[in-house]
Amino acid sequence: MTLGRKAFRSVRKNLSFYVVTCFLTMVAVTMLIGALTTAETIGDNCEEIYGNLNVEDAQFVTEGIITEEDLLRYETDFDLVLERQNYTDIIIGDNTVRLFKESSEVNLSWIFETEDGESEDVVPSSVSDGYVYICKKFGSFNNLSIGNDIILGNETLTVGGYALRPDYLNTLKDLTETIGDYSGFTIALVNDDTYEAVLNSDPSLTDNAYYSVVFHDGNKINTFRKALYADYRPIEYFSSDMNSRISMLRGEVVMLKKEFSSYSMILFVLVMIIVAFMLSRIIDGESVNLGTLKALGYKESELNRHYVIYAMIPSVTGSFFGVLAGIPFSRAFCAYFFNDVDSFPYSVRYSVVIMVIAFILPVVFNIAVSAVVTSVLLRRDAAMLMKKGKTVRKVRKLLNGSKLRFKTVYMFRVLAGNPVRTMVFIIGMTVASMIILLGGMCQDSQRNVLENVLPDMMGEAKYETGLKSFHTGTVENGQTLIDVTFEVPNKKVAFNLIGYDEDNTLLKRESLSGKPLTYGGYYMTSGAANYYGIGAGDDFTFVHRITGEERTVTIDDIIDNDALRLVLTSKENAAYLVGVSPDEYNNILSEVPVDVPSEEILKIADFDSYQDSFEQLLATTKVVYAILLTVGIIVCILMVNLLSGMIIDENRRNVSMLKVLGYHGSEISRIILRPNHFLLPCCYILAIPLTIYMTRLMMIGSAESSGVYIDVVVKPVTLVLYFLIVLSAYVVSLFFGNRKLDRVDMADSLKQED
Amino acid sequence: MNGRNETIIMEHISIKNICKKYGQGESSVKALDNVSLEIAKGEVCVILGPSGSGKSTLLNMIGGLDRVDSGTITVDGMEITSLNKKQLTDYRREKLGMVFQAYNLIPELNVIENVRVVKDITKEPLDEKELLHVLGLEKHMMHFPSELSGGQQQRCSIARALVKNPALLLCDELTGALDSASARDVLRVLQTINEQYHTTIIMITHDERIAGMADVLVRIMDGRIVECISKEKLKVEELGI
Repeated sequence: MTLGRKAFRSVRKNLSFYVVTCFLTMVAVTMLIGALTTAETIGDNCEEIYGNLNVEDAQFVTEGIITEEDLLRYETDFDLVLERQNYTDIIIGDNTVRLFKESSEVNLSWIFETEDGESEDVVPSSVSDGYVYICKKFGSFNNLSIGNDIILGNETLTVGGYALRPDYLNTLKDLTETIGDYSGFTIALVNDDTYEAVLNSDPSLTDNAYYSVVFHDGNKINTFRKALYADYRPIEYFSSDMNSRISMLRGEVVMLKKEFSSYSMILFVLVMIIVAFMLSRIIDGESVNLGTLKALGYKESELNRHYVIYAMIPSVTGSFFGVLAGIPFSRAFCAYFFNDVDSFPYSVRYSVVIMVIAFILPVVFNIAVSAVVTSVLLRRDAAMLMKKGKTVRKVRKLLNGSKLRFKTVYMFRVLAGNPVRTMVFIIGMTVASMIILLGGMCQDSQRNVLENVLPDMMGEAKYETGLKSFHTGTVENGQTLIDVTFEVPNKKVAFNLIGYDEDNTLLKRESLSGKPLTYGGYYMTSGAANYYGIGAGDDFTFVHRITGEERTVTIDDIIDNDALRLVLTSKENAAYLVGVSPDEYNNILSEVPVDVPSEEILKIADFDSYQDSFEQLLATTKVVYAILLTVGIIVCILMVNLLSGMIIDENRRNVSMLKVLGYHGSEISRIILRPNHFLLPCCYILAIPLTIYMTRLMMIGSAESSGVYIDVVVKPVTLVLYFLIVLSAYVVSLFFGNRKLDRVDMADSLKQED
Repeated sequence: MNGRNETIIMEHISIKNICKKYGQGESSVKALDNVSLEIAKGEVCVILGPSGSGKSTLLNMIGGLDRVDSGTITVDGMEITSLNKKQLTDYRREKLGMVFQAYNLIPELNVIENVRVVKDITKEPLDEKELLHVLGLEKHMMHFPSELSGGQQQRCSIARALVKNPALLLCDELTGALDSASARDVLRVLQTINEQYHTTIIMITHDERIAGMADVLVRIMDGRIVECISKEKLKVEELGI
């Protein structure tokens, strides 16, 4: 259609509009493709590893060894696969090597790189005699290449290759860690004979064991757990959902899909608003042409199609470049997320469906919005359209007779006289400010955990020593606790029930309401209360993780602690709920390390280790925040540039006239572009509560997958700093605006109006 | 000097041999071709010519809105053709008033606010209310341009130009968009201003009727001054001597 050429030739005239919409569409499409492809890649690769290598559904520790007969009986009666996992921790300098005996049923090994090269095929591998297979990252950090020798115990073994176990994909030494220490910890895989040889070579090494289980029938899980409790009284039970070595990547898949889809949607909506706004301006400015075309016999539907092209140009172009940019971005994004776990070969799973959807989505959105806008505007009859000619500017007669300076009066009248443009500016700048602020607020909140919550979290205690089983008696320099993990129906993340003595001085327990705690009451930490949606006075039902028994208590108050999910109660109450004597304990709080035999210790948590892992977490999120900051700055510059261009176009004659009257460029800029100056801080202020709300939603979403709720904290200095960033972006865009002002010809004011 | 009598004592504007060409090569157009003209302080100079004759180009050059290819323009002893961009802005700000055919009032501002647009950048402005009174707009000070007739808008535009008490007032097709009654009305106002404030006025027009109020009448055709008549000669012609 010849008419269609007009739309393409208008690109130069409306360049800012096309640049802004193209760019925003491109960013939204790139983010959507990047996030969904990364989620798909992580999901596919992980599930392939979990499926092919028979990852455990749960693991547990029993006080005694399960007999071969019972193992077979459980497998038959409860339709499951159960295998004992043996390991020993070998300390080499500052490093820990967790040596595993090769499994044959559950958590199989995958040797992905040997002297023969690397393989992407996830297949269970057999370990050769006299060889050890380690994590690739540990090898790289410690210059341990394939073929090198390593002394384990007093045995010298050869590194046969790099391998992983599906239950150690996220190679955490301890489940309290959030990020693995890849330079200081590795798992190592050997066959049965080599394992025995290493163990026998050094008497200080202890053989540890736990059981891993794969359920084939989900309905039999609870009956199995009850039978197991009756037979062997397990002291620990972790389902794979609770095991961050397995669940972390699954959680990231959910987070990626949820968060980045919403970022993309926000940008899509912003583009739709801009398209609707610009299209109505273009059509309004072309009313004479429209009237003429109507008079010449063009149907409304034909004209409608013509104006849809205006919306299609940026969306198709933006989507096209978005898809192109999405390919390398996905690769980089995958590399970034896979960096959180141990190295293994993976292939990026580009999905044609995702790309097609990401390509079509903005096109469909923009066609829809342009069709609606066009059909509304084209309803006027031809004669009326031809008569109208150039749009008559509506003037809001605000502050008439006011003693304010004309520049101020002008600013308010311009803002009120162009409500749609004002709204587009407000929405655009608020979104840009939100994108910029989001990273800052997340970082502030995380830093608050590091600087305030973590030091507070452990109260006066510096060490927390978890024991493998219950003990009685007193501990020198320590205060004892009952500490047992309970599950909550329909929730993925468990909590710990803590039973404390009335004279405990090390456990932090301050209620949010300010009321003193009564010994014998039930108090939930704010971290748990936020996650489970419980308030003071609510009934709280939970399930004993080992016995499967259900209990309900009434929560008396909420304790100020966002970092941990705990319910605190008296030792007597806890003992009753756990099924032990009030004299027993399995956890010790202390200000100095306590003297407990190492074989009795399950874990020692100290403040420094919490702090280290959280600092590592902060470091990894910096890249995401840097991306957000960059996108926000670019959106800010483009939006201001687009709207400044519009304002200048509308005020061409005024600008020209002011130049003739002797106004300098900077003075003209202050008059013509001043309405934006006024709106900028308003938009920023509006963005603050919106970003707090959005960050809170993100933190709740993140708590759903990670179980850690981080309260939103914003430092005033951050608000000032980020306002300066927004302001700088604004000043940069004003520079472009001033150049446009500069280009307005003074002779324009001498011409008769069109 | 194209036939003008050398009787004026105080030379205000001196234009010497200015040339201006637009475009390049074969498609270039000579907008002004060796134009020279002198106007004394307080004179009303009317420049007549058909469309495309170069009169608007000449006005642009005097107003410092465009640059000459060659020649010089001196206003009040200041050679404006050698000024840089900032100095030209200052020249317009301090010495020049300009009235446009299209009025160019800011639609978002009422009459008095439009006048204040210039008053705000003037060192010693006139009283805007008094000026509006002189121009017969005292009852319309709070009206917006869209609420005024063409003549009223043009008077507002004149008030805006005069509030700085400029040494030189440039008028571009002042009455081009007005009906006869409004045009007469506006010209009368301009005459009063000229008499009251001794403002030098240069008007470009193709309306022959305006010639009557000129001290100097310049006819321009194809970028050249074809006729330049002083008031004395105009009077003689009027009397038929």
